[in-house]
Amino acid sequence: MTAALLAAACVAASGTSQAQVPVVESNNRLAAAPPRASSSQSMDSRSEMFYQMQLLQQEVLELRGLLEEQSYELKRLKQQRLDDYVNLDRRISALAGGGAAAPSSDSTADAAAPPAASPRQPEQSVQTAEDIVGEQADEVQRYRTAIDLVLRKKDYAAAIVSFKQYLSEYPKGRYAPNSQYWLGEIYLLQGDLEQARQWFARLLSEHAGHAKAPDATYKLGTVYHKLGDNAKARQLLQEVAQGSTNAARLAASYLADMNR
Amino acid sequence: MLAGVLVLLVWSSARAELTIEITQGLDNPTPIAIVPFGWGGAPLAEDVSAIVEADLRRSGQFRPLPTSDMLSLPRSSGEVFYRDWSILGTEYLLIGNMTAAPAGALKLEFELYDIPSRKPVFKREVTGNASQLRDMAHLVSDAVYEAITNIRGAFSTKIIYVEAFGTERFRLMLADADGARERVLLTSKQPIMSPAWSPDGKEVAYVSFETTRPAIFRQVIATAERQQLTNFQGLNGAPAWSPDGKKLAMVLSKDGNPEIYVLEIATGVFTRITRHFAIDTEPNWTSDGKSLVFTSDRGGKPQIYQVALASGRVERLTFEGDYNARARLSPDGKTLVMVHRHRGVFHIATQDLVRGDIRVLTQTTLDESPSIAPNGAMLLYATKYGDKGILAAVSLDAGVKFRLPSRQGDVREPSWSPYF
Repeated sequence: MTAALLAAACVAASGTSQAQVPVVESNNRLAAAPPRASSSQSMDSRSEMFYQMQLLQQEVLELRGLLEEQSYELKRLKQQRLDDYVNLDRRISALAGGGAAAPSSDSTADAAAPPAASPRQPEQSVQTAEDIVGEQADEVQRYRTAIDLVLRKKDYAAAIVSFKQYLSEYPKGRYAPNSQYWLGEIYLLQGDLEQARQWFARLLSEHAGHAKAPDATYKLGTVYHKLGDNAKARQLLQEVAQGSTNAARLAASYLADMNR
Repeated sequence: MLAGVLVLLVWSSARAELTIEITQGLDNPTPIAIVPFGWGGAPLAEDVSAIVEADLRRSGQFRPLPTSDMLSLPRSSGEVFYRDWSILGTEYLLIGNMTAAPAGALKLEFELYDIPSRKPVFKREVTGNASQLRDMAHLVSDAVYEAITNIRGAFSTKIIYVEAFGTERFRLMLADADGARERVLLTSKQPIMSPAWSPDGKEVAYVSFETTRPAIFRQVIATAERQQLTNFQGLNGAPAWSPDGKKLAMVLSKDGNPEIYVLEIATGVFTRITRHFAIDTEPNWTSDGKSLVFTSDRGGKPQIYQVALASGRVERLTFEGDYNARARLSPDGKTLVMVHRHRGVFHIATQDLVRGDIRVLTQTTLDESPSIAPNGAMLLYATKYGDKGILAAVSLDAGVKFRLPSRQGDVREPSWSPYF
């Protein structure tokens, strides 16, 4: 036994003729019982093959599982990417649509209306979540209806009626400044400069500290410019341009255009 | 959102072998008043209005008003005063009256009222003999349930399950959906497994070891007439009827390892469906009869796959978790119900086939063999409670749960019947 091991070690060391070791060993047995030995040898190799096949099968199962999971993941990611794109696309087109609907006569102002209006949105929803009861809910509803007429339905005549109705019912309402601003915007769009001037001016005199005030000041400046009162226009636009709001940037660029 | 409500109901009927415990109901069940039905004759074997009350309570969607709180006990429309019921805050009122009909039959007239809108919903009648009182009660429950929830009631359906007494005695049992009126379909000293209803509700297919190796049998429930369908070497298991009742899908290992086969019952022709060196088992039909869902470990772990019979195309359906098995499809085909291993514990879970999300329905352990009610509202499954195998039920939205513990042996492998 030890001799065989030693021999094996020697042969292994020589490295070239490993196959000889079992042959030498089986030769001894071959002499005793030749047929059985050969069958046991083929049995050995067969069971070895069977074992190898089982290993391979197991490997294939696991690989198949991985492949299935990865193709599912891929499908899911593709779908998710598509969903995200559709979502983004919807939001962008809503933004673009909102901008176009926001009544303003110059292209630079297109961008001004939505950013100025959108910060109001979260506040509205918080408001409704907190206390959607009675009059307050009614007030929110009315304002929303009016906004809807402007942004989605683009029915400006009806929107004017709605906003005025809102203002007459809730003169000190939460959205009174916004309503005045939108009235100014709509009249400006329709070319009724005098009405537009009045609404923007009213907003500024009644709600000077409101978030809409810089926007209104900027718009009022452009209205005066269109009315031909350049001095007044410059004064207002320079006033806004001092600040750091969106309107400030728009005012600055408008001023630059005016001076050109 | 859900409150655990523990209500214990004990059947008055001496014949009932199963008792029902509601372990969880909706937190806002609809209040309903079920006035004890009028009857002038000799005492009846069953309290029909109590059965209706138990049915509706067990659905988890109703809260019956205790009789002791009722201000009046009307038996006809003339005696109904809406005010009496709106004071009690009840939303529906059910009244009924039984009278003797010719040939020893009984006629039950029943009426449902909508209390808040102060108008009758329906008035119907049902006739039956003294041995059909429970059927009449379940019919009333079905009518009320459907009128209020718009979902067809499944109180008149039945269940089949296997009861085991140690390893020596096995019984195939038939009972009402509420566990009452148990009947033995087959007794054997060898295991009985995987009972499956034929779609017409007239036959059951199951696996029996009575011939010392597993074989699939079919049995006509009414006549107990039996036919052995398979006798192959190895596994013969998990029979499932096709929706048209003409074929049986099953697992056979006659060609080496477990594969799915479909047997055409009339001709006795077997068609091999799956070809894979992994284990394919537990087939179940889609409602259009064009595909099978089955469990396979061809991906290294047991997962649910679907195979289209025409093309042989196989598609994997489950991807969450390392063990999903024994799938059943809801009647609308949108939800997959299965045994799902979650953190090492076997639970019943549903998977929305459109969106793909998995939801674990049960909190019990070692849950197995889910079977869906024909209306898709509830499912029955086998689980362990104490040391015993029992049946439990859960609604597909996981809102309602109840147990049907057996008083005797271990109960397993429930199968909920189709509509009759």
